[in-house]
Amino acid sequence: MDYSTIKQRVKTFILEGEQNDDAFTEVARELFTFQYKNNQAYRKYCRKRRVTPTSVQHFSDIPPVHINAFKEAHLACSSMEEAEAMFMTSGTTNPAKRGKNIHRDLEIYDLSMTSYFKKMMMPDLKKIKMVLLFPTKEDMPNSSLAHYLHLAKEQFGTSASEYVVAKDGVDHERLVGLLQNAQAEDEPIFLLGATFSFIHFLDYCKERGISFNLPKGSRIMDTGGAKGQSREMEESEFKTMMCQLLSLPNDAYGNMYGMTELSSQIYNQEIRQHYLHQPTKTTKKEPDWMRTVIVDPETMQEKPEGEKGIIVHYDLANINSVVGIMTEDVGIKHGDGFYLLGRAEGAEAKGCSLAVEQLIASNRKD
Amino acid sequence: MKIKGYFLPIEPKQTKSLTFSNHGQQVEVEVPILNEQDLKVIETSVKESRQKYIKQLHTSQIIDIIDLAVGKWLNPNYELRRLAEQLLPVITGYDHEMVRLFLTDYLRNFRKQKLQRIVDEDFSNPLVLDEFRPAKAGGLTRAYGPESIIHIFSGNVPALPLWSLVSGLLVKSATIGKVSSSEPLFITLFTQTLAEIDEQFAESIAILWWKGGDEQIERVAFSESEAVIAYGSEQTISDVAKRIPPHVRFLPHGHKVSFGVVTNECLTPTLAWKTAQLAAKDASWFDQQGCLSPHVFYVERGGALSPRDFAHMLAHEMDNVDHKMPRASLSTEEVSAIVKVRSDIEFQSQVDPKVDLLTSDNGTAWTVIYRDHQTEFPFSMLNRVVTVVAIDSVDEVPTLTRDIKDFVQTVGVACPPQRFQALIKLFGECKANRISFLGEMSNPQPGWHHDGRFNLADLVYWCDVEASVEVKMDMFDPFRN
Repeated sequence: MDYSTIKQRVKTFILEGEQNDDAFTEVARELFTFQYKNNQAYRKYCRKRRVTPTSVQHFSDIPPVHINAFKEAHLACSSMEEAEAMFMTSGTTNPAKRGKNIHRDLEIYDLSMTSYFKKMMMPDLKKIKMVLLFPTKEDMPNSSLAHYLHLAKEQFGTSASEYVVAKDGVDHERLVGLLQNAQAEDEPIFLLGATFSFIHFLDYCKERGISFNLPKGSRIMDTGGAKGQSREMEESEFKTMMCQLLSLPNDAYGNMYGMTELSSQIYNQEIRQHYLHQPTKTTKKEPDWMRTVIVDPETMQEKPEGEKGIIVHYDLANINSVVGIMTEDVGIKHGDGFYLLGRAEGAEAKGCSLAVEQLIASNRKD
Repeated sequence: MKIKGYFLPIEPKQTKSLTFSNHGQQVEVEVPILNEQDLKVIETSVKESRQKYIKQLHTSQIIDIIDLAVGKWLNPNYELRRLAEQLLPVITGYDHEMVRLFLTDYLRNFRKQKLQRIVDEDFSNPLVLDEFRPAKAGGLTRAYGPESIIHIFSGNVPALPLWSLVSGLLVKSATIGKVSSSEPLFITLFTQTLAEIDEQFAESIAILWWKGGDEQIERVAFSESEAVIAYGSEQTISDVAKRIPPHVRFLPHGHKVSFGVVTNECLTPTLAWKTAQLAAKDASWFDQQGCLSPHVFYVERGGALSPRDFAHMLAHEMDNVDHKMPRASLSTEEVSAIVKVRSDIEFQSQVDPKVDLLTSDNGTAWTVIYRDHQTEFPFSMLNRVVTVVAIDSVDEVPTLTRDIKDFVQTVGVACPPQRFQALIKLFGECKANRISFLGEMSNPQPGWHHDGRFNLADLVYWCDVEASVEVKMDMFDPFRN
């Protein structure tokens, strides 16, 4: 199977919507076969585990690769030269070793992003005025988050949408102006960015005693979390403080859980449930073309529901690298979703939030 | 099963249970919840008991009491020993057999003659602990232990707190021992044995618990004592240090790092297996949780077998140890750390023939990483993960370990007698404070200079009576001529 055929298979799967495990396994196997053939580092890895395309019966038989391997190896089915995009991790611990996810083209990435973003963050609207607290993709060409946000703005943002990033980080004055404006004109607004930028903004407003009363339909979405930062905050505390600052209900808060090494994202479900009047689930949920499994890292067997384990993702949109990724995140399966408990202690700090902090830090040095 | 994890002169008003589950069993250890007032009462009580009794004893009598207690513990049928053998594996997760063997080896270090050696190591005339004795330079001198010592015990290796407890008792101090939440039992049981032998003696000991880092409790505790001995991470040590008043003596034992060295003479076909066996013991013992456990073995090239061969032999022996004494089961986070490093090395080895990864067949039981060349010190994430680094000559070791110079504790060596003198000189300069043969890294001799310091001499203060008193007082003698 060649690249365009497998791409078409995945595309069809994404477009068809909800499908069972058998259908997922079928495409996952085809994708695994393609990757086994074309991704040399991964093939060696599988051979060592005596796994071949013929031995895979279920998608969970596909050996997941540890997320850190993207720093050590060229985990791609194509060379860097023929890649449309190469997304890199922030490399906070060791700038010389950054994880690379090489995308031959971004068609599937973009399809995955827009389909699920629409479903989870914008179930009620076609477009909304977006304000982005993150550098543009021109400023950070290797950041998957910069690309993601660019796509959100292009596809779902009104023409009045804008970035509020200045040379030294987020332009707080401009952001305050935009929020006050939205309030005055009663136009819903969608704030998107790295958790850490929002925390900086919280501090900025607290110091000045500013708060807002955003119009109905407004929402925010953060990503990256604030663990391992100069200022740590739990997700629930962050959510409460942000919603208070903006006078938003809790179900206007979205959280995106994503990583450079994947090509799809996962969200919390409150916004969607609110607009569809569904009962509230507090878990995170992956899209139909992804399976998130909680495993015991000692045995690599799936953990029963309710037990803590390491999160493994199988993402069909990751066509050019590997379908299975083992993270360093600890989670618990619950119903059709899962809870993210945070990074395994002692594991290396990473995250998109740091991109901004680094930008701020490096610009301040100038 | 529920068991008491404290030894106090008062009954605590409130207790809480620390629950441990391992090897399919569960045990609850009850620890007291104390406030500042309780702590003051306890400190006063142990100090009074010390004043009345232990302070009046001669060190040789104290040695006899401890020796009797150790004698009981060396009997496999002694009730508390059996309890410890049963419960310590459940509390710590360590293998039963390893705990049993360790208890015997370790307790033997506290027999009478060994205790005498500990005292003699620090005091050329041990009688100075009992009375004023003539000083070599003239006059008299006497050593006094602190009125009371606070011990912040660690829990990484069971029974280890005994060193600290015994040191305090030998200088006749009252003891406030704070147990670790990860192993609160052994020292409580041992104190019970002391009470069985001599109730009054044990009245100067309190074994208790508070949540590490409880600022209020620690401030009260530290200000009421004369010395604090603390074991723990750099973080724990620096937190404790902040709360210790300037007049209180502080003896910190922060985390340390150890490594092994194998010379090329040991790499003949017969000797290499023996060496690998000893190395595997050191790298498996207590899952590397103690500071004495090696992170890396530096292996010299030029022997009949190569350092890479040695890595394979070590892997084989790690597997043997695993069959006899399996590693403790780990938390998700700890396993995840091993999985990560294995993945890194596996992908590195795909493109770099100078790197090799050897692992247990299933799960994460043991991991041997081989590196043909490595300049940074390869820290292990512990739990039986060890690196073998090839070197051209042992002379490279000081450079390779320069980064950890201030943290080196034990260097385990495998060498022939011809290399002995040169090696000890070399490692002494690496700031090692203990050199042992391979296989003995985790079992220090009694009286060793723990972290390069004195055990007892660092605790005492001296009172020197100058010769002038002896000479001049005669002038004031009413019976003078």
